[in-house]
Amino acid sequence: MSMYRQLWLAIILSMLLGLAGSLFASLLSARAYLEQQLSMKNADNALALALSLSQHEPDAVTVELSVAALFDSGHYESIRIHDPKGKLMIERVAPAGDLGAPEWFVQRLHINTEPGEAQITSGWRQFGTVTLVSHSRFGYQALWNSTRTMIALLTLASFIGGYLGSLILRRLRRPLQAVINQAAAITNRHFVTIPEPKVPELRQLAIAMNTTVARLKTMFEDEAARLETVRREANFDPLTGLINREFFISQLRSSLEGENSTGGTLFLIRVADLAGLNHRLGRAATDDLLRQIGEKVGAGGTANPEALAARMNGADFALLLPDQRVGSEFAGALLQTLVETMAAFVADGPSAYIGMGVFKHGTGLRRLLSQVDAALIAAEAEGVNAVREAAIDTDDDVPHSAEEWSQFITRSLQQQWLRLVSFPVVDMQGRLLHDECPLRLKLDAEAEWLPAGRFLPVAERIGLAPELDISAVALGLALLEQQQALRGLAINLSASSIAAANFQSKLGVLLQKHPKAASRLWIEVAETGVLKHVEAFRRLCTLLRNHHCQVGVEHFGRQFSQIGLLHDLGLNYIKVDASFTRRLEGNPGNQAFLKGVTAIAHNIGLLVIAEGVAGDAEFALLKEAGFDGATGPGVKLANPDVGV
Amino acid sequence: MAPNAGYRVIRRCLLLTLAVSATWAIDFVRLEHFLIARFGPTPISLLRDWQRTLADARSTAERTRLIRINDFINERIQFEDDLSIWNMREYWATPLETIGQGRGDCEDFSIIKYYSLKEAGIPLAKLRLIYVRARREGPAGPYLQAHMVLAYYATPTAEPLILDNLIPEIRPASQRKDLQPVFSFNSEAIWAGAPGNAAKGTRGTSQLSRWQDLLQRVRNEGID
Repeated sequence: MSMYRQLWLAIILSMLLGLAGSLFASLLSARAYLEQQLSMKNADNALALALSLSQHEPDAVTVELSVAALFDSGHYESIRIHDPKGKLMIERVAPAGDLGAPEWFVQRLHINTEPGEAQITSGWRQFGTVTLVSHSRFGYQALWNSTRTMIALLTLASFIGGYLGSLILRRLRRPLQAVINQAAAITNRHFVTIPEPKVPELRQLAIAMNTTVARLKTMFEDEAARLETVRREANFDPLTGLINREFFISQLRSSLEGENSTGGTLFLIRVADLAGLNHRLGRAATDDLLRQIGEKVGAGGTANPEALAARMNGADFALLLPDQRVGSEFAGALLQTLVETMAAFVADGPSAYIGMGVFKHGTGLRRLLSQVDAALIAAEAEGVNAVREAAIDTDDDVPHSAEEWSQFITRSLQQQWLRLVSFPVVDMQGRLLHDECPLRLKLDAEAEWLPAGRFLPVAERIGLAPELDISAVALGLALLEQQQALRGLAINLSASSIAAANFQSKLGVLLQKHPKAASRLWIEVAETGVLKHVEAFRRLCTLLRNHHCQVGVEHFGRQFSQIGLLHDLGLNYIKVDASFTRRLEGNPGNQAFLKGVTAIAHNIGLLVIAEGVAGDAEFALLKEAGFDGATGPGVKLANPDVGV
Repeated sequence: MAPNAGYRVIRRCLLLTLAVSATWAIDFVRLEHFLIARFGPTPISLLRDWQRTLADARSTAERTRLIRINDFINERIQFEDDLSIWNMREYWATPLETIGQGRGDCEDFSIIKYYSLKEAGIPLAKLRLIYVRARREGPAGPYLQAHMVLAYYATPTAEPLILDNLIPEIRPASQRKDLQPVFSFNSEAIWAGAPGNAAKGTRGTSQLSRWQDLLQRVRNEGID
């Protein structure tokens, strides 16, 4: 039984006990009073009768008549007169009649009265003794009536008492419920703090829990800060603060091969005659110059949140603008900035060269790098500040304008030219955790299936992503219902969807329709999307948790320092971005970082899955780092029959 | 009903014990203690004499007992009215108070005689306290006076003997033309209600009758 109910019952019970006790006590005292009054009346009436009869030498007839007159008033149970020898002379006894109260009541609350007795004399001679008992009917009636009245009043009082009791309990219930909710939230790895209630006992509890949460949060943040340092050391150039070559290359690879990428623009920037500058200016001034150039290169990408600036080696910098195609005028402006920056250091001669190339999804990394590098060399060969653009094959059979895209995607949605493809996500024993299922779309009945990267970024821009995501979830749920043996199926939602009006309610309705399948559905949102719409994501987490879905963050790690925001969302898993896992064997810094990430994530109960795992060596290292699962081209699904 | 019946049986037994012990019921040690405390040592001799008279009378015939006790009281107690003894219009004194004062009015005489006879072993059923109207001869001619006497009924229907202080000699009622009975009562009749009152306590808090009040005080002083 819940505490409220017990408290409430205790209140009602103690009140009923008190009221019943007072009812009983007042009944007993009323009866005692009635008994006393009736006994006195008996004595007085006997005396009065005897006195009046003794006045004139009484004869049997007079006595009989007097007794009858008194008795017939109806207030007597019996009047008897015995002669001095004890023989009954006259008797009047009322027949047993209605007592004015139920039989059981009379039996339990019997009124005991003392009969009144007095001597009748005839002159000096004793005539007899009168014994008189008044009728107790009136007493029973009065007792019965007052009992009923009191029961009615006490019942009313109980109701009022019960109502007041529940008011008090409701006052108690609110802070208690808050504490309970907090406890439940913490159980769900949802580390929230609550305002301290006014009730002292509950306040202690709330303070204790809040303190625990705060301590956990501090621990979490300390750990995150330490890991952030590790991450920077592993992936950043210490002088300029830009990312280093390895990290840049792995990011570039993501841009070329990633499921969601659409290509982009790559710039390679080279500072002219660094050795000469070093010689002329000295090491300190050269470092200062490089730092300033790094800033300018970094600033070149501020318009694109995904932009990456890197220092590739001594004199070479790189800038990657994913999903963005810009012309050489952009490079010209960048070059101009650099020239101005270096004017203070360079007397004459060229300052910098830029080679650039626009690429699409699927372009080979080696080919892209060599072509842009060739453009850079061509620019350098000119001997003046110059920009050269590599001619990379970018022709496309897809629409180009937003209006075209909008028409095509809308038609695909109507025609249901959509399907899911699946990539296995396995645990470290190679058993399937779930299938990650990105959406494919074709623009025409006969056209090829486009990967998400080709249409999703556009769809996000033109506001069609929510509908695509809903369709993807619907397809996923249908698939789960078809394949009852499938352990899980992951769908990723785009950033603009989670913040879009009505999206979450539509999603809720959809999940409501497939409650069984929903419990095997994994829903994930990219880290950048989560951080852009933290509040919307928090609501999404609550919604999904209510439908028993798994919730996760994918492409996790790039903005690791923001992990503090995630700790109270109640996530189930994270998928660590491929740029951290790829070529892990050559990067001890990232190994340390990932070990830290898994430790901290396990602390708050998250499953940690690696993305983009390319080979067995990486897989083994990830296992060592404490990962719970992996996905990527190098992941092999063990034969399920063998694994079990 | 069963508990009530049981209760009644117990009460009967209790009354019976009281009746038996009533044959020798005066605690003289206690009585003397109270007497000295209230009236000083002077009346002790009267108390001792009373005690001796009662003890002596017990072994004699009922008629002799009546005479001895009636004579002892009439001789040793002075008549005086309540106003001068107690400074009250009407006060029923206990035997102890009557002995302590050495004087009393008609009720006090009747009361101490009643208790004395009870102590001497006369069954209470034979005794009645009777309010009477007394015709007296005064200097200004005859007048009527409210008076109380003790009557002794040898049998329930017999003519009573009157123990009085106006005429110290015991006479049958028919020879007391100066007295006219008004109302008689005995302690038992009133006690029929009273022991319950006294025992229960709660009911006795209402105003006691004069007689019940007296019984209570007498009992407190050590006469049962």
